[in-house]
Amino acid sequence: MDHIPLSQYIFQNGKFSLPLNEIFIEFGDTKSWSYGRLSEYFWIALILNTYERKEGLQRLGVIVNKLHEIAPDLRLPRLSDIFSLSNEQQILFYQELLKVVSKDTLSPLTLIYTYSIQPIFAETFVNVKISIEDRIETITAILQKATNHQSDFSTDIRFIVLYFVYSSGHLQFPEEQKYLLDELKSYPHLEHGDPKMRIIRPFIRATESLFLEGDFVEINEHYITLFWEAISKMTECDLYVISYEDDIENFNVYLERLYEIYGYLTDLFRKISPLDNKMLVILGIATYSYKRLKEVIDYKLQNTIVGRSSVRVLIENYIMLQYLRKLEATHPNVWKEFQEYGIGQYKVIVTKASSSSNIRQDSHVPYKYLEELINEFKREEFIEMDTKYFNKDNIRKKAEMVNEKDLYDLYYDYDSAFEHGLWGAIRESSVLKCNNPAHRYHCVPDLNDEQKLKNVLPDCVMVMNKTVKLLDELYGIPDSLIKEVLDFEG
Amino acid sequence: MRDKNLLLEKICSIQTEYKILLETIVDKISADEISPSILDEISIFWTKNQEIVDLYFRNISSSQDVYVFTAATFLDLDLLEHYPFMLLGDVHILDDQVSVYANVVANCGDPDFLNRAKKQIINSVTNNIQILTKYGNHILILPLRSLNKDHQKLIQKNSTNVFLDLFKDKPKSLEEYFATYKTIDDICSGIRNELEKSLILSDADDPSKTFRERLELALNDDLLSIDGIGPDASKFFAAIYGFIYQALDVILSCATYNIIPYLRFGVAYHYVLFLSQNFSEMKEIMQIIFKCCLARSIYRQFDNTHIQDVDFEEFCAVVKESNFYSDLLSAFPDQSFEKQSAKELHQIVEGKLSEFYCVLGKL
Repeated sequence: MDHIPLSQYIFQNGKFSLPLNEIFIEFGDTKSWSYGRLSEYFWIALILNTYERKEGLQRLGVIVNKLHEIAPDLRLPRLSDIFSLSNEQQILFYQELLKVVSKDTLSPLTLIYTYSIQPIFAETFVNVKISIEDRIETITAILQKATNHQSDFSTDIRFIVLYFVYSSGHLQFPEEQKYLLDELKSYPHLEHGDPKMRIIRPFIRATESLFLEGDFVEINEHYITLFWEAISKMTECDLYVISYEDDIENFNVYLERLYEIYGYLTDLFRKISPLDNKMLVILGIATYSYKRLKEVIDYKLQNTIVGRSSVRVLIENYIMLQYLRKLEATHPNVWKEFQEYGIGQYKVIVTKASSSSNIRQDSHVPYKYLEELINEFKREEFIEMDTKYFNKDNIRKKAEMVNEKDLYDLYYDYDSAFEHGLWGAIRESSVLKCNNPAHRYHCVPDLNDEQKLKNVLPDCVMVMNKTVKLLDELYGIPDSLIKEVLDFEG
Repeated sequence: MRDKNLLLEKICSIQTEYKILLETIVDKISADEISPSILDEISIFWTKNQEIVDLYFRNISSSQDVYVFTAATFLDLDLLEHYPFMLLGDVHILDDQVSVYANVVANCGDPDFLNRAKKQIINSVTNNIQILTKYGNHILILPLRSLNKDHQKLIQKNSTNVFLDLFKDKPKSLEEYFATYKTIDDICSGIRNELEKSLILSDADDPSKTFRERLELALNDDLLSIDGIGPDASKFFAAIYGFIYQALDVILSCATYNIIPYLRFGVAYHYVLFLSQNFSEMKEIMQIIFKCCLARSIYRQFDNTHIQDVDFEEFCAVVKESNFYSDLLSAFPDQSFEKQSAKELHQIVEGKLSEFYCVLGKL
């Protein structure tokens, strides 16, 4: 399916919405097929499930006619309406049902409509020899088949509903649509793949969905709630996990080659320019990226949330390097300022800590050591504190300035969702979809860390190679070292 | 400070729902007629709440002693059985016998079981309603033994094994047992001599009689004299296997959740003790069994004459204030049979109960 370009969305009140969404008015839940109507017509589904399609439709035809005879005022064959009939009418109808279908066919519904709720129904259809588990299994299997309102199975159920309303005389066709009636009559005899069905099936679905509109009938919310509460309590979550299996052996080789490059550059610094502050800053940033990548590979974090944090840092470091280079033309002191900004951040932290009485000795923040670092750089009192972001340009703007907007749009933004714990990232990484239709496809927390995420290493390599190319531009890396790294394919 | 216990709130609301359900069905059942759909509804009710009950059992017993009144048809309120039950532990549960019956009706091959069990089912239902109405603040009714359906196969397998193990020449299977053993003579000559005394055959068993005499009496028991149950060997199996199954069920269910069984029924107590010897290496299970013996001793020795005029709420308050249970436990620092004979245990319990009666007498 093609995606709709962002430009076609309407941005209003802080969210993007499709113009089409403004036209549609959503059906209330209780009117929807999967939640509201299917529960009402579940008895029809059970009969269709037990018997083959043709035989099932035939038997239901007989049942519908009997139901009209017994309860001529009934407008829809909803189970809630059948339960509202007098005891005599119910007994009579169930007796007729048992002439056409076996007792076990409707037995699964005794799980929901138990003796205290529907005594006549339960007494008539209960079979304790069919275990509770088997009854649950039948209901769940039908939900799987019928949840999609357009499936063959759902359309068959909806045809019976339509047939019921038509045979009660409540559905009239205008003269110009009389031909549809003949088409409709042929429905039970046609296979779903028949070309004629292209017209009949949508007609059935469209018409059936209208029966709950207006004041034709009232929705029985209590019945629907009871249905879903009962089966959701009795079924277990069927959690859906997307698995990613990756062979990362090659990435170890990549890391070894990368180590050789960084070793070469560190040698250059130590032996040729040990006092070159610009080189220290550039190699410092690049080495920080290297260490983040090494952590991912060494600790096999490629499918984890932490892995995404690493990609984000690699991108931010690379953009920062390019940004500092660009700024150098107008700010010759930019490398020093970058250091001051970072150490200034530490100064803020240490100052706050020194005025706090809540410092825990086992905290991961080494306040004393941070103080040493601040003093190492420059005498503490001379460090200007700046809590604003370095040079006030945020990362998106920096990315644009260095022509790396794609890195921001396609990767950084996504990884930021994980860093900030936004719901998209939470849903993808820490919440599992339950595949049980009885639970209405809810989600549950992934406490056991079953959901892995897609491998970050190819993106790490992509960004790292951009960094390596930049280092090559600045310092020159021997072909024997760089070639294998730039040619690497994971 | 925690101001909410969601799980306990849910358990309480389940108790209310269960009471409503039982009240709905009690008028619909009689000694003449119990519809299978009624028992089916009980099973469905607990199936719906199974995960919550399991969660509750898994989380209550770590810091508290939980006692369950189990392996009995009902807690006899007329005989004031609920009073001594409250002397033990922090949480008191009545293992729902109605759900046990519902399970048996659904799973046993005997179509006549429901007819024979009608009276007991009615007793259990009315007893449950009474407890939930009057004593719901102190006693919870939850299904313990019928909760975990996965246990049932395991218990069946082990019960069969234990049963076959009673014989000198251990039959390889039940089929072989039924093919080899037919008459009372077959059983008497086949059973391992050292086990003759250990096998209690009925509630009215008299250990002073010979094994054959006891067996003859037991096999003539009304419950086993049903048409179609077959030769003596089949009756013997029906009697003993049931006791073994029940005892293993109690041990496994209680061990799973670290819950202590409070056993009124002497035969059930005997078999739990007898079979618990198989778990003597498992410290946790043996601690449960030790406390089960304490509970049994309390049950046997508790003198109802001291509580004839004592209000139940008042009784519970005295139990709490007097620290009866922790005081009792402190008399058994090792909580083990190695350093305490059954007789000593009995004597200590007797002493503690005497002290308690004095406190109660001051009311």
